[in-house]
Amino acid sequence: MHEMSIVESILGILREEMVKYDGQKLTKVTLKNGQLAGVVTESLQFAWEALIPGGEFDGAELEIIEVPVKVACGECGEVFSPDHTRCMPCPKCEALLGHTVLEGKELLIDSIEVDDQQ
Amino acid sequence: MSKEVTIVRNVLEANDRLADELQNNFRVKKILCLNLMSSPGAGKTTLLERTLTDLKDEFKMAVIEGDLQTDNDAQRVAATGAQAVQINTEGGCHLDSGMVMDALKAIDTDGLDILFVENVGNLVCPAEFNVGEDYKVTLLSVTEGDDKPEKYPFMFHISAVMLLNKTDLLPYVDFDLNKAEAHAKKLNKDIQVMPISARTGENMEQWYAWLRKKRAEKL
Repeated sequence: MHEMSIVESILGILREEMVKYDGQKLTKVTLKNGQLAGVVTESLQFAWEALIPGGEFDGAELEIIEVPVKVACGECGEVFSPDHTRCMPCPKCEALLGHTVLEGKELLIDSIEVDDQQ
Repeated sequence: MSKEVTIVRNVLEANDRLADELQNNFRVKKILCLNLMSSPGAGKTTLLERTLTDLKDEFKMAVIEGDLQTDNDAQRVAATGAQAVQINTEGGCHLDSGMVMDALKAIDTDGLDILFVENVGNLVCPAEFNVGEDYKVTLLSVTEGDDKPEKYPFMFHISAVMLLNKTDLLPYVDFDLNKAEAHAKKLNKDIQVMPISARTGENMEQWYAWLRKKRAEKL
């Protein structure tokens, strides 16, 4: 359950960012969670809902966009999104191994929404 | 009025900043730092006991031990004569750079060649947090099933080495070494796979050769 400490990290970044929006209220955070990042969307949402009430970001919504894996084939270079990470045959040359991961490892705060009407 | 602001910041950047600081420190002091990860019971401590004993005359080594509650492992490691510091995570499922930085204060790093960080036993969470290491090393024991790299892809994806431990038990379990290797290489074509038995000492030379090479590269 490392999602709790991940939410703590998110809160740290939000506190830094909100300094720029003095007096405004954070209403929404959008996060990108790569399919390979090892972070469970539901657990993150659960941790958010457990930690947010009563604090400075009370009421803020967390939206999590799951980013699918995108790889480049290790044999022919074809870029594709496999159906799942367990078996990733290249649609062009059918190679199974040695692909390079291009997307799907990221865990990023993408954007926030702030409201100036308290 | 509500407005949307694009930020794009890595969630784990605070941890990564501390990890960079640790890495710089290790670079200056020419210390090879390895983050050792596995499920509970895969044999991390046994691997360390043997490594610390066998290479005692060659390198000055120290261990930072991450554990949920006890200091059993730190005691075993300290019995080899190496410096060992315990971090109790009080239930936390992984180590992070801040914890390693604190533990490091208790270690004499002058002349240290290799620092092992034995992470909390868990194939998921430790993979997420850098601890200033040069390389991540994952142990998988043959009693666990050869589909583990498929099930926990992130850990195997980011590890430089997969040690397949407890090969002395292969006659008694259904574990296909080739299958485990193929699964790991699906997402990480560069991962080095080394079948070993830390208990009997079988094939440990391959692991030691890798350690010597990586340590030499730090000089």
